[in-house]
Amino acid sequence: MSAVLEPVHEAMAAHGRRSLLGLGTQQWVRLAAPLLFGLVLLAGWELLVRLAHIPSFVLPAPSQVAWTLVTEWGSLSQSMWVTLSLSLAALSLAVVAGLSLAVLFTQSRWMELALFPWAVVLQVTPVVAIAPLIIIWANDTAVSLLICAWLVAFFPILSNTTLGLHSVDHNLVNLFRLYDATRWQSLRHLRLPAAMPYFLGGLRISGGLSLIGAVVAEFVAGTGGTQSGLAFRILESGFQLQIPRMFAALVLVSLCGIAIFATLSLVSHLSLRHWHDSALRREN
Amino acid sequence: MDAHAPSSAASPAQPLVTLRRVGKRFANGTVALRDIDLDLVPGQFISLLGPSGCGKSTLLKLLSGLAPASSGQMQWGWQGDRPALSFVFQDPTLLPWAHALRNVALPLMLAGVPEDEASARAREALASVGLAGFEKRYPRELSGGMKMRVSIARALVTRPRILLMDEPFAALDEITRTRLNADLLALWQRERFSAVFVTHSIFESVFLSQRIVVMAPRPGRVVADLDVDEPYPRAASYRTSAVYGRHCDRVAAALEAATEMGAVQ
Repeated sequence: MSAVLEPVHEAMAAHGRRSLLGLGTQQWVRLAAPLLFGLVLLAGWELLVRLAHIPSFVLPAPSQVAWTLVTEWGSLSQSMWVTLSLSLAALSLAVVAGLSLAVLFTQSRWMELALFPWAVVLQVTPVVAIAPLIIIWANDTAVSLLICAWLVAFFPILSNTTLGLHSVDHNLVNLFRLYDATRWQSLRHLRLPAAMPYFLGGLRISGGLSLIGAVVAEFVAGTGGTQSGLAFRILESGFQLQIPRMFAALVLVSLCGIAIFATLSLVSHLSLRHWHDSALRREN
Repeated sequence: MDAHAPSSAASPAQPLVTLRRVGKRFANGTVALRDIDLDLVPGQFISLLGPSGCGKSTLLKLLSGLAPASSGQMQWGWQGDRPALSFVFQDPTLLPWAHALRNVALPLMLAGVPEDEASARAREALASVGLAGFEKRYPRELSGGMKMRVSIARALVTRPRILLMDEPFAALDEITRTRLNADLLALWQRERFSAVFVTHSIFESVFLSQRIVVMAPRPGRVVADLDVDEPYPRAASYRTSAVYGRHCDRVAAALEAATEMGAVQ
């Protein structure tokens, strides 16, 4: 074919304006505002503790927590690493299980009817309640912790991805049928990409849940020695009334959560930035 | 450009599709189509015209094979198992996560055409609808008219013998629609596919087609089959000519009769 028609000339909207480090003024404000608020809060806290002479086993000053973080960094960082790797392992398993089950569900309506209610049962049963059973059955602390964290994390991925795989434009389904697309082609080129925003939404929820699962499971199961995570450090510090250390461990748990959420948000933004409404900036 | 040899009187060519007493009844009992007799002549531009609910979109689905007929006979008059058939929906129906070139190459990719060849052919198809240079644009970045052009390029990339269009320009503004009408006719004259164009606009159908099949609702049926024997290419001045007006009157009268018949039943 050669061009028989005149090319269309239309002004295209310019891409977003650039600023410092790739972030616009608005983004910097969005970063700075919560940070500033946090700093004010910490300063007030510090002042309160110092002026009112609150003992450190009731409420340690932020400076003391920070100092504890430095002095105890050896054991705390090791525990953080244990908790973080447990969360990430649980999240990876949740992704594998959630994705494959969701795909299975779209390929077979019967499978979905038979299995989905059981996934819901697993989801609504509090992990604290079944953790003791899992610990008995698994007969290995690391494995039982992993199972508990996985149980908490996998449902959002499963339910979101299932919804996404079903939410395909009906005309696009017809189009694929018209061109005799195989099941695999429809899955690979239509259903999976269409489910991406849903899957990524589920992934962000599951990221946080995998950390919660890991911490809760360790509270219930308990560990000791070099294999203990942050939850055990918190328990241990509580027993020994080393409240600044407890706060330091808490800070690290929060940081892990923030890091997981930020990473997954970035992944989500990078995968959707070309096409999905959630990742596009609007002019109006 | 040479006139696109029209049709009805001269060509003894075998119809591409033959429908005899074809009916369609939905699961809820609605009779969408009753006793449809229709021959698709190769290379002809046909419009299916009628009010909402007259089953013109359903008829298009039957022709495409997307839905089966519930009664009557349908015969496809070509060799091989698969008609070279394309469909343009009312919405552009593009993959939002793929840029224009990949959208146009989709039918070729699904057919297993090697990637180099597929994107070369997709590039040509995009250029033929006036979108050269827009290969890497995502649907989000294109206007409504441009998205429809991408959709048409995707339909034409397989070089179909039949192009089915379901009110493709209904959602576009008047100016864009007029341009796309003219461009569609130019493509049709060059590619020589059979076009079946569903519309509820008398003006659009008279401008585009050689033949207008007027349909009536409840149940959907054919009430008139009119020829528009005007030569191609049809210039913009055709829209303001006296012949054009007469054709429009004729079609409007048939449509009026159809609507009354629908109301009585």
